[in-house]
Amino acid sequence: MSDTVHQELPPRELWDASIALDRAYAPLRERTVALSPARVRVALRIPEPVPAPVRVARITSRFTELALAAAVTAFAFVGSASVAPKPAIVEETSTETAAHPIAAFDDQNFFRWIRIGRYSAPSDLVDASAALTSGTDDITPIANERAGLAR
Amino acid sequence: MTPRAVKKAAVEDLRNDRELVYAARAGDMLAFDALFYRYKDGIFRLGLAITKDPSAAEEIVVDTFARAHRALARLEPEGSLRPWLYRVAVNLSYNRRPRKNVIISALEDATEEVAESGERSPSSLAELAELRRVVLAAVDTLGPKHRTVVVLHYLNGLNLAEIAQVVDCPVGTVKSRLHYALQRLRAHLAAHPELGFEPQYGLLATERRVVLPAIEPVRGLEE
Repeated sequence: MSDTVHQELPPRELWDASIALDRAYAPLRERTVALSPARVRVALRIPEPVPAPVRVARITSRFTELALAAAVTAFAFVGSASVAPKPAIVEETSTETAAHPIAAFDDQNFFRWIRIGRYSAPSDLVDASAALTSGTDDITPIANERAGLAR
Repeated sequence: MTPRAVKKAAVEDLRNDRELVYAARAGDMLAFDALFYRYKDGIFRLGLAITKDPSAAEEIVVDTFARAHRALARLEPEGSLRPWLYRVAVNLSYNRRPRKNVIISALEDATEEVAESGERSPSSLAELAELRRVVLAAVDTLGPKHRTVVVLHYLNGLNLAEIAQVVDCPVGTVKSRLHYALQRLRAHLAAHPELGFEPQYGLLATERRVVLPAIEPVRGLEE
């Protein structure tokens, strides 16, 4: 508006109403809103533009996540395969070869003692004073066997 | 660029609306953001004045710019995009019914002023708040056409030619609507003598900027 217009005064009865309106709206003129254009893009379903460094960082973090997930999965599977307990009870109808439990230490010693005593007694376990002399041991049983046959 | 830097660049974009519209049409999102930051507050105030609901006013801002984005291909702003945006905002605002029990409280505004300013006494601020309440109530009694003109002129500061573009009618019609609204308001104020509102002839510089354009329709009618 030009200055000449400013110099012309309006009817007084409308000035007061105009001033009252101006003052009534004064607080509202100061109001602002914290809105982002992203809200509009969401409403329009437009993907948000991503800067290049952020894009690279996102790809890197995604790759790290995938590698970590693969490592955890591999660890879980391999670990569970190596420590999985075998079934202790075997069904009688099972056609598979039964897995015998390992004998206890005392049983092993017992069987070993029997084998040693009957077939291969080492020299250090045999009492030399009680040992049979050679010759007599070879003849006597044969004589007894013949006696048995004669009966 | 960080989001803060993007916002700073958009806010400080010096291109005019026409250039921004053409850039946004070519896919420049920064140009669209610049338009958004340039007009979001004005559209928010307009929606708030009509709907009296801040959340509805925010939705009006978003919907207005969503429509602007869809219409980018056919927008041909001569100078400013503001009349087009405000026309969309006015239509959206009147399509939303104001919610019950949601009002703009002049008393709350006065309370904030008491906290911020120590110049005025609480009693004078309370009187001012009451005056605001009466004036805004008077505006609410106007029909949508007259209320729109008042809000666009006194709140958003649009001149008569821009208002004519927004409401899609001749400038003379805008003048007569504004004149009618002022007369109704004056009659409403006269019915509240307890407010003691006196015509003020010595306007402050800030008031001249807003008040004097309102004189124009009066001049137009007198001529």
